[in-house]
Amino acid sequence: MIETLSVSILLLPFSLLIILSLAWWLSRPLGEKWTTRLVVWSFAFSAALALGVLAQGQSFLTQPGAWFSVGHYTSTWDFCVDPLSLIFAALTGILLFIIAVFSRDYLHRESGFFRFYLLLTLFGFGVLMVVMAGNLEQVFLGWELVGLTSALLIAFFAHRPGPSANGFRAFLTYRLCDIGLLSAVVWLHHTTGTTDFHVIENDGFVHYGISTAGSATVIGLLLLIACLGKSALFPVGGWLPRAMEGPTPSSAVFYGALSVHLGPYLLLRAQPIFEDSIIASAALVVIGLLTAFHGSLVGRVQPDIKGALAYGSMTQVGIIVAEIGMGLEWLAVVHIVGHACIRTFEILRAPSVLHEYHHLELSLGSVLPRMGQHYEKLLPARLRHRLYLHALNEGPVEPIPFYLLGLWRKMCLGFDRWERKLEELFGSSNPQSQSQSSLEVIK
Amino acid sequence: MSIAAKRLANEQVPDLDSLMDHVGHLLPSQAPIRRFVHHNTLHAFEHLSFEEAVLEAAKLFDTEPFPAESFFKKQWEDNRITVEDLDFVLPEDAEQLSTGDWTRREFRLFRLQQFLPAAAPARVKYELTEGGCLERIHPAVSEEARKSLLECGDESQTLKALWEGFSQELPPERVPQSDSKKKLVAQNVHPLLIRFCGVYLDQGIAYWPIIREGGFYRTFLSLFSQSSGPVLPWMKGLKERLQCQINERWNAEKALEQALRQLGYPPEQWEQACLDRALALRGWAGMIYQLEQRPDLAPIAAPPCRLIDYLAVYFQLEAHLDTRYPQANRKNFPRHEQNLSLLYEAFLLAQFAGLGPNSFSQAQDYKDFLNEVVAFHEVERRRYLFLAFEHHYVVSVLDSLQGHHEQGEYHRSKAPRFQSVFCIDDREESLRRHLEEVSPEMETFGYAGFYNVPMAYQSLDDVHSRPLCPVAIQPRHLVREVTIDEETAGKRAGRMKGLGLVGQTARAQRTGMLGGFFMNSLVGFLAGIPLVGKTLFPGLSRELAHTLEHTLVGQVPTRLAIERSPEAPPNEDGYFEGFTVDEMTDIVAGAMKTMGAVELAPLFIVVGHGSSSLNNPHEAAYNCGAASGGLGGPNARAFSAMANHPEVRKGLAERGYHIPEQTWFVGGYHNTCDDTMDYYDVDLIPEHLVEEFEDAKALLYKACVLDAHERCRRFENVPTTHTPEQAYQHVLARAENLAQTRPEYGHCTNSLCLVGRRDRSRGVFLDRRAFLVSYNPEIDDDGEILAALLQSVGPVGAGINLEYLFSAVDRSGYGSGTKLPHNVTGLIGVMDGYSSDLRTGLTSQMIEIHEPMRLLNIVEAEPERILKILEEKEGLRALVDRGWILLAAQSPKNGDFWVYRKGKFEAHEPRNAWIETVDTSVAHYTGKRGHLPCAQVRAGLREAR
Repeated sequence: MIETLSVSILLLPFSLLIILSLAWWLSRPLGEKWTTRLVVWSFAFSAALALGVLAQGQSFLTQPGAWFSVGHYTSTWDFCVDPLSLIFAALTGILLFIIAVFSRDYLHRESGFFRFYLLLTLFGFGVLMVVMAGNLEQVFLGWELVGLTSALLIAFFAHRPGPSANGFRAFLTYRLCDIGLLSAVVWLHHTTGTTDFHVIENDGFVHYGISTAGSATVIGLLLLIACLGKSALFPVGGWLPRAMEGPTPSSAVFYGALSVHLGPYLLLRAQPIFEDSIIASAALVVIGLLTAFHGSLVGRVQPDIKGALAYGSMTQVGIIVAEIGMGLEWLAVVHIVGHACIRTFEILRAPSVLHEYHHLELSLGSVLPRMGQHYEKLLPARLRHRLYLHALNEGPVEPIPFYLLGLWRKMCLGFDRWERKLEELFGSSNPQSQSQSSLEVIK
Repeated sequence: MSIAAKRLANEQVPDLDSLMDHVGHLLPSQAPIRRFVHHNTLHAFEHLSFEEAVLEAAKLFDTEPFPAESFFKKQWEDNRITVEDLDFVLPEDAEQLSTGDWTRREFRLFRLQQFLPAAAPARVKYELTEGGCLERIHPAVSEEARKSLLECGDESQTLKALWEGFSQELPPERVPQSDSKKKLVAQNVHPLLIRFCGVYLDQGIAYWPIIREGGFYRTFLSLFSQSSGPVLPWMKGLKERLQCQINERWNAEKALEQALRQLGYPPEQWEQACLDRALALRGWAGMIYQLEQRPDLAPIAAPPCRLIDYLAVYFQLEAHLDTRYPQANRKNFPRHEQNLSLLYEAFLLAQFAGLGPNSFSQAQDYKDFLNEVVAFHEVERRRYLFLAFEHHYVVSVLDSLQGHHEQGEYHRSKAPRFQSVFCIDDREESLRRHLEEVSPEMETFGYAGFYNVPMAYQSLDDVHSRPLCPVAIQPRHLVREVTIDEETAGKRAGRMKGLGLVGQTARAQRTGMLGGFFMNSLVGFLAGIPLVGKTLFPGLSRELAHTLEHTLVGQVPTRLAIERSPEAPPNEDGYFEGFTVDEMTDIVAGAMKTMGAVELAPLFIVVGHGSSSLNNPHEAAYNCGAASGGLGGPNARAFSAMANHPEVRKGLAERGYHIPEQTWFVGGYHNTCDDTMDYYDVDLIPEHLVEEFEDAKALLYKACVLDAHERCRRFENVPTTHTPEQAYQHVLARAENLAQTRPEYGHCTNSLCLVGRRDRSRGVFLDRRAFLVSYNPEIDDDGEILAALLQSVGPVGAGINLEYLFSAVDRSGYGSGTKLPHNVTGLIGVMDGYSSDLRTGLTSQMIEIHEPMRLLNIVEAEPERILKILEEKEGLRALVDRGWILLAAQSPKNGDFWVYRKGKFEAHEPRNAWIETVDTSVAHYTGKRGHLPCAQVRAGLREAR
């Protein structure tokens, strides 16, 4: 019974997804009223189920059936039900419920209304899949859905070039970092033959059947790479502020609450691995703190409210990752829940910033005090300018992709030269070879 | 060497100051967003006629000149454009066409009714190959035309012959190609410039504000000449370039000149080059220019701004980019292509007109026909459709008003029990109408919502004062709200400060590390409470918040410090603190005479208005335009205090305007978003009027509830079955709903301005489309009152109307597009998403139900008098003659209507002088969403007791 209920947390949005997709596929999108009703209630029920199961206080793995089989190997659907996954499932359900209610009015009459709700449902399904997954393949499935919906919602207003470009950038970053997750899957299969989680009875956290510290370090680092993209960690987090292109509620739920916290969730799930590897946990602390420093510094010079909030998110996620690296997993959980609540609220009311500013002014009875003066007191003038410019240029984070691209281009050009030399050597009859014309594009 | 000396040395260099003025004039003149005031979007083109101006502006700004043909098609289907209207607006042209038996005018009349959307070349190719357009006659072709086509022979042969005939002539089409260099600049320079403009103009969002040194250009130099670690590839070398400029002590003028020369522009092209760059990010450039002209509009303190600084930085960056990537300099030329769309259009039109191949006797005929099609291109058609749409509306409104006049207007027989004056705002039309319906003893007036009080105002809690009068007036008087209970006020301020400090701390930790950590991990989950409350239960949380505020902060009784002695000197900001008795007497006399209030009732309620909503950066655009985007309540309060002042009344009596002793003025404030009313200084109302006031208040409440009900019919997500009380509850919650992108529809659908006695229009349902200006021609013998009134009302109405018109015509070119991704930046404006140009104009949520048409002003005065005023007042004449507003007159004597066309008044010829009669407004609009015609409302016509 309880197993069926647990799986239903995920099945509800999934069946809704089928309904909505079919409706769209058959060119019969539902009206605003029914779309919102279905989405709102399915997430509300998901959240209620998660809370109900959580109240039972049990931890178990459930396998409702087989997923796919390759030769002699069969992968099953595994769902991991424990306090951690249920807390996250409940948080996901509640926040998506709120966002779905909010968007009913916010996106009213918008031509992309149905598309928005469809993507929101797909996203919810993806997050719940990651949260409830009992093996890394399922994590990967949900992980990809979240990345895809994130990119599609950033590019929600695709008729303008900005959102498309920024959506594409986020997508590229995700895909690049997904290499980490995919490699972790392969490595785990290679070393242990499975990626299933094993419940350890005494602490409720799950474990992969890894024994050696070297293996733990490799897996830990690969998982960290996977998180770099999704949680906008240093040094690839430049996409996060640029993701503030979609409608406000999607920005709130993706980059304030759920999507950015999936990285820490994955790390929490793999906590025992980091306990086994001092290198991997040190890497978490270092990357986390670097992200927090970077986010905090760059965020402080942002003159636009959504940009500032995005960097605020980045900072807190950095701290959370560092907390996990230090083994403070329950602090991290509390931090994630608190941060998700505050940031969602802050982003949802970001357009009120003028109102809020005026209100504060009235309350304080004076012009708002200038912030950031300690920078001016602490730093000599010359350094101050440099630091400010450093923040305005987004430090090293923004140029890095361009250098990498430059490097890539140089490499391609090198290969091209090499190939042509070979051609000359063997006497090619066609000077307008394929490689040359494709190079024109790169130029 | 100074610039001036250099200019002497080189005669060719244009004067940069006047060049900047030229460029700046063409930029959007929107103030920082909290000081949003409606104005004509195309103010820079007012020297042209409306029809020329929209075309010129469309070319310059790459925008739409008129609404899309699909909009007019919808109106055509709804019978809001008829053949009669098209016939009226099309000019005479009797030239016979070579094909078909018709004149050019007849052809055009026919063409206008087809609403053929242009087909993209790819679509045409598809239709020709697979779509079967050469096999079958277009399904929409009429039976008659079909028959005459088939006379030429077999269906497919006819069509093929027709197509062949057309396709022999292929006029080339110019396909504009994107300029690769411009693209490069947009990709590299713009993001940097937007960030820099953002931090430079920021008024308090960034935690760490920029260190400004001198102006925009100097700050740019001192900042970007620093080394700061890795930079984007294209920015390499910029540091050295700027350091060199610092060492040689360049100013913006020199930097601009150098970059222009480096980019290879000869001096005669400088203006065009500067204009191109300024328009590339016209929102930012416009904001800089605005703050250069009016630094007082900045929310906190304007940094030094000069347009030339901005352009110098722009050009320096572009020049640097040019040095880095010189190969990108090549230009693309327009490509020529067969104009398939045009051929297809002609091909279909011939079918619709029933012109088969035998109607075209020679190849030249095809060519002629094509030329006719080209000459009456889409923009030209949209122009005539626009004029026809307007014409239809003008005729229908004048017909209705004439019908109303003939069926018997309202005539006041006895002195009214109450009187009230509202702002002329179109949103108060419904409130006044409902008020008159629920209370036949009420007489209402309309006067510009600043009530003739040209003041700057500072409320008890406000830190800054702000002007509450039309933008054209620079206020010289400051009125403060002061407490009459110092002790309570002190305690209250302390409590407020405590709350404020909490808010300020949370704000400071938005991006903080340590503080953010503590805030998020310790108390973060508490944010869940407002998050759930504000999104799921906006109505409940509104009440809770109000109760909380009431108990935590409380209220104190206040008064306006309105009076000053004539000797008192101005304060350090140059304001006189209050008005002298003489000044107050002038103010009251002016307003009362203009609105034509002759006999006064015992209770006179003066109502200012404003709007409050959440999550709405454009909030100021919903406020009172006459109070320059502020809340108009204090004006009503100040006016009442003046009119109640015994000395002022004495002064008025000396000037022959007598206010009866028992009459009392009460100031009020109408919130147009949640339809609540507040009243000021109620404790001062004399005892004998207290009951009367309670009655009046109850009536106003009833009217507000009905007003909310009428507004809700336009909100698509409110069921039309709502009762007035439900609708009222809905708008209360709506104003507090964070998710609500349309707290109200503002001036949407405005199209009329009636200047005259209310008796003429009382009892007419005008669907919240009309500005109602009270004017009594009987007490205006020499027309001076009217002249002054038209001069102030004309431009204000035009400004509001034209801003809505243009934002609706081109939602993203003139308007600011959908507000869903809007991102407030620097407290001065909004961007789309993370980084974009500053968006100006109205959001698409504000104008989605607007019907673009120019404001029809109907003035109750003899045509001769209006002509005389137009002759004397040049500004007004320009507005009318160049067609920025439409003008009509109603004779005060016999009620006949006259329409102003091409410099003279023509008698209105009614098509059907009739008006539908209904019992109440509610009966007329209930269950209906869209545009409603005028109607006579019997409840509003009932005579006073």
